[in-house]
Amino acid sequence: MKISKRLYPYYMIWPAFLVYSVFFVVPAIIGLYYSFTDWRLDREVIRFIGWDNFRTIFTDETLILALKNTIIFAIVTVIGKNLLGIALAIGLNMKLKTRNLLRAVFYSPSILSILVISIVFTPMLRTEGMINRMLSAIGLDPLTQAWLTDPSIVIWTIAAVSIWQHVGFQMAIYLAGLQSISKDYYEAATIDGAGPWRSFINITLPLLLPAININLMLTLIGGLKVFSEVFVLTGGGPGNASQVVGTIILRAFGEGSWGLGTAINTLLFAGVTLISIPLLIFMRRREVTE
Amino acid sequence: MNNLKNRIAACLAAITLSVSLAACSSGNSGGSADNSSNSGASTIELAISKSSQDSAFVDQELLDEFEKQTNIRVNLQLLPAEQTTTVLQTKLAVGETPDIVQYNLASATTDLNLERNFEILDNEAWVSRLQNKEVLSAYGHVYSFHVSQDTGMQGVVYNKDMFEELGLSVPTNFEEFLAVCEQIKAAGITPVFMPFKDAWAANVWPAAAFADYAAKNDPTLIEDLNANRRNWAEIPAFADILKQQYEVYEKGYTNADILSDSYDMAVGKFLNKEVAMMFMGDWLIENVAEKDPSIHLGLFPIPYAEGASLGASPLGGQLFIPKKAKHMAEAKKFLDFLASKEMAQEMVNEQSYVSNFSDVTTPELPEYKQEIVEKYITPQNTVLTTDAHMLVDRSELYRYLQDQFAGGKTAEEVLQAWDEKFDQLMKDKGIAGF
Amino acid sequence: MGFSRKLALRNYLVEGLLILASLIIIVPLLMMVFGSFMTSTEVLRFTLDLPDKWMFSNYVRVFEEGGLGRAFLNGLLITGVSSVLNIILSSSASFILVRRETKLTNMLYLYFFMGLIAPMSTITTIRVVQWMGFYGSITSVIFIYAALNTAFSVFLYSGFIKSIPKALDEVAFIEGASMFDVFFRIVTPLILPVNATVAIMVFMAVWNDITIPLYFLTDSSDWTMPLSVYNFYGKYSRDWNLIFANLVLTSLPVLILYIFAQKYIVSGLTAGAVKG
Repeated sequence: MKISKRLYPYYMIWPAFLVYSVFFVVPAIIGLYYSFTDWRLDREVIRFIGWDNFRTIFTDETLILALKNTIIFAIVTVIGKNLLGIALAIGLNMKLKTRNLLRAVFYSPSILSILVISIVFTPMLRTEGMINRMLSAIGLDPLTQAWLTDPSIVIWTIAAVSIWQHVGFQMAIYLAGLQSISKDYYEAATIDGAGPWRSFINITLPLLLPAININLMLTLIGGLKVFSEVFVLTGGGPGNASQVVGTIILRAFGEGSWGLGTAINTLLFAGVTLISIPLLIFMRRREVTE
Repeated sequence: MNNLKNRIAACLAAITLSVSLAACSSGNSGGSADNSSNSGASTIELAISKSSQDSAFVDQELLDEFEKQTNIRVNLQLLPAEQTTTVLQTKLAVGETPDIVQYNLASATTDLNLERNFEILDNEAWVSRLQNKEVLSAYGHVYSFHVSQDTGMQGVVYNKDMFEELGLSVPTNFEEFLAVCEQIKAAGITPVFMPFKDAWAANVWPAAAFADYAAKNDPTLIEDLNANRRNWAEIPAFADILKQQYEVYEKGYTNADILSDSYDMAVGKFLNKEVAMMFMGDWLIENVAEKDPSIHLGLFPIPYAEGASLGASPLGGQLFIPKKAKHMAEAKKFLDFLASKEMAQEMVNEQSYVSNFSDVTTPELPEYKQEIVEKYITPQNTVLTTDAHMLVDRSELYRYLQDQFAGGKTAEEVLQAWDEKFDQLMKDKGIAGF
Repeated sequence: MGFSRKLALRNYLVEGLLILASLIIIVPLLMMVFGSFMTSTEVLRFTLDLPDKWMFSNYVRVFEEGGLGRAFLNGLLITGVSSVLNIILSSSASFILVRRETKLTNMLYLYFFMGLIAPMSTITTIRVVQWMGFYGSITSVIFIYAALNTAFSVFLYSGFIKSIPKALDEVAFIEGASMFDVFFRIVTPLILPVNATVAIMVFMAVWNDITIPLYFLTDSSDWTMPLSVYNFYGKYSRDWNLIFANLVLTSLPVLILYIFAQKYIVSGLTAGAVKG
């Protein structure tokens, strides 16, 4: 116990704690207060109005649609980014000749400004755009779609673009995780006669658990807080068909209702917390028992 | 233990040092501006949306000339268009404002709380030379600056050469308009370009038509709407107007992918002679002329009914000085500079503005503008679009209009949905009657 | 011999599949790169063709007109300092948070984690910075970036430090090492791939951000590269070739950093360091 105290002194935490608290947490907490006010720029006095903003939010029918879209987006991207991310990481952890090049290629979209996504994908996803032309060229005409203008599929398209952009980011975290697994384990397993699949289940997966947990949390939170992909590709359109909670918040701010916008933000915060904290605690427990 | 603590202290000191180093170098980078301020110069910040950066006021030669004369440097803050309003609102709210802001007067009253945040300019010397104070005023005071009094006009932009070749005349009602579309289509040209990926573009037709309908048939209508005495969905003519615009699309008179095409493609479409018409403002004609002066474009009123007037939008792109500007005197000096006879004349000539200063002469206008002046402005055959009368943010209406074309809403549903939203926005804003 | 041949065959198969898959990434990117060398009319075709004539002048023009030199240095200063600050603070805090499993550290861990979820409040952050008296300075932006990315970095570091057996530190400590020795000589080398990964990700997040400078830097000559893309986007909204060139130039520094950092991401653990 004494060893631990002297070896791991608390004061190593405080600098991070201080910077984080002063420049992020304190303003964020004060900011929450505005959720309960009728704050607008054209108001001289900001009044406390209790839960009124929250009542207004739930009378808004686009919010229901936005919630549905947000959940679809989160689920699709969590699954897509993690499955593909693990697959890429495992492949690129093997001794391949083009390994370094391929890693850079797969990672590169995630370093691009979101503006690129808008500029490159908007023309490609048009009805007579490159993607549909390619589908037709290989005889897959029935698969051609109005990718960004058909209200029933637009959110799926945006999710796919998001996977395209960020899968390399997840891959990089999985790679870092794979790198910290000692080669000894695999050698031992090969000597025992275990095939690649059994090595994967018995060694890779359990030892990759920290990375899996990190990626699941990051993609889940990122998915629920999605904003920029939708904003640059459709702006929530056509109509309100691809509106998500993140873009609804911006809409409220744009209409001058800052109190309302903050309230939706608070609600999103509460929702994401309720989903992710229990998951986090559950996953931490599992890690410990490994 | 002590040894350890010392090392930690050293470590923390190193962190602080690295940060203050950054602070130093940032101080240095700002220093170049400070150094020049020691020699009597200062810098003012002018915030402008990136989409307005062709504005005559921020022409680099002009800014250089100003610096030469007064030793005041103008630093441009170009804000991304979709964030301009929020950034300005935020900066005004916390009192960290730029010294000059370019914005539209009409939107400034709804978005930026003009009375509370901006300086009244009634007593500036240049005000006495203004011919039309109205276009710069709100609440009975001059709040903004511009050298032009020319409000933009909105209607149907059309290719005159094409009309001539096909022997078409300007349609004066909706049936004639459809007939014209049919003939253009038969000639293998897309009659109307609808760039409705940008939802606001779907608003040009109704904004002019609604206003014209109200002005001719129901003079108190807009006032009533703004006082909640009547609703948008109650007016059958409004729904009919929306249906007309949809009919143009439904009959195949438009580009195929209207929800993917965006406004920035419009100039190219006219240059390539792919399209004959578009519901837009006369600024588009100017943009096309800049690229290819040999194409003749013109403007006619939205032909929703017999003898409609041309839509007029309020003057935009004025300069404002925030009350909390840190360099108020220098900012006013900049306006004085722009208002000086020589500078104003230069800008008016270059941009073909209708001059607002009594001692600055309006240059010969381009052909399309001369025609608009003769046919519509002089006989007072224009009407301010509904946008000019709106007290709240319209972007949700634009989304509903877009939704009509995505198949999500009928014309009636668009108006009903807008009624609900309008009600909520007006209530939030605290307008009497809601 | 049969075994290693099978292994080699498997590697070739995987490599082939990955190269095929990488086309999905490369094609849209090539469109941008080729487009950046085209004329403004040619680029409007939005197809995957080589430019008829390679217009290297696009880059010169973008660099000069966009003021990219200045913006690059601003970005380098802001991003570099805030990333280093963030990494030092977060990794040391995470080390203690993970190693000392008390109620307090568990609470603190959650406290840091909430930062991944909580929305940033721009107005109140400006108020805080104003109150401290350095609103509008590059220093304030550096601190804000360091704070904004703390949650992410602590989360990543904690996850990975946990997988390093605690026994290692204790052995070292009994042998007379100090806390700093343990942290720098044992933990840091072990998490080197993680360090490199976090560094790139924080660097990238800060480098690409466009909102903080808009709100917190009053002097636009302090602005960073991605904002110049926005400005270019407005000014030349029909000249996609120039916009593409600007985007390529803006993305390049992070890509170079990634390629450079790969060395550390690959190196990983020395065999036998982890005895389970």
